[in-house]
Amino acid sequence: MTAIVRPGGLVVPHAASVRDPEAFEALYRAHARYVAGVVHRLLSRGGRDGELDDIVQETFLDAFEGLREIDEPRSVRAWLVTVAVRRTRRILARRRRRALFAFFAKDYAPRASDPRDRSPVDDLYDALERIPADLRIPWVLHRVEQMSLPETAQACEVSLATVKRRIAEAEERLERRLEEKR
Amino acid sequence: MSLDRLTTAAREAEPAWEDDRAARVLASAMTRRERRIARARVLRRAAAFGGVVGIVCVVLLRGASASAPVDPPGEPAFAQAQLQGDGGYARD
Repeated sequence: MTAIVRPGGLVVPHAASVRDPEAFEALYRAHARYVAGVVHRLLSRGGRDGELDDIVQETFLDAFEGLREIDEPRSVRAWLVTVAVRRTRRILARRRRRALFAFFAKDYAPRASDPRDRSPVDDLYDALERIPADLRIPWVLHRVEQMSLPETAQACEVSLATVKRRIAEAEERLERRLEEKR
Repeated sequence: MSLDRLTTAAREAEPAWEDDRAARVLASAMTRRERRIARARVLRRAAAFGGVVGIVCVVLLRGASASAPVDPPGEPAFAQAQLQGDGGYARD
């Protein structure tokens, strides 16, 4: 037995088998789709140039090494989200730096999409891309992923009061931006 | 469309996470995982070897400093002073 499979698809590698490839695979198969969904929305439409794939991969690699510290199987998914959020934040920061550089190099062109292909959700993602990652990530986790406030605070590694304030501010900015679009 | 409805629409839109994409990411992750494990093993062994070398060096240095000093043969300072007749200056 290489991994403990709990009801609800929760998979926790056995403490003795953390180096077992089968345990790694079981963990990945149980949670990869969920993590990919969260990262897809955090990055807005999954990001670009394989960012989603990179983050999912790195998340499982990091999480697998840290799983020995987790006793409670229920927290596996929360732990994965925390790791994914950390990785996503790095990608968003890198993207912002690149956009800044590209702006100065006069080579920056926003992704233009055919209006016929646009869905209403694209308006939301456009608005999300214009607010800072510190506001956007907790808002997506709480409002889109429907994580509770304590779970969101834990995933973002900030206090409950901070996460509440950031979600409220993100909500306000998004409302304003969407209002401008109408 | 209101923010609430957009939020619901975003929640319902699943990423294109097909089986072959998932398998590709998994295969790549497995390779990287093996590489990380191998690197960690090498680092662990290097640290252990370095530790042993360090301990051996410390033991050798302590042994060297504990051995009797090799002083050049000569007269004690007091006897030498008497010999040179300095009027008891060295005794004081």
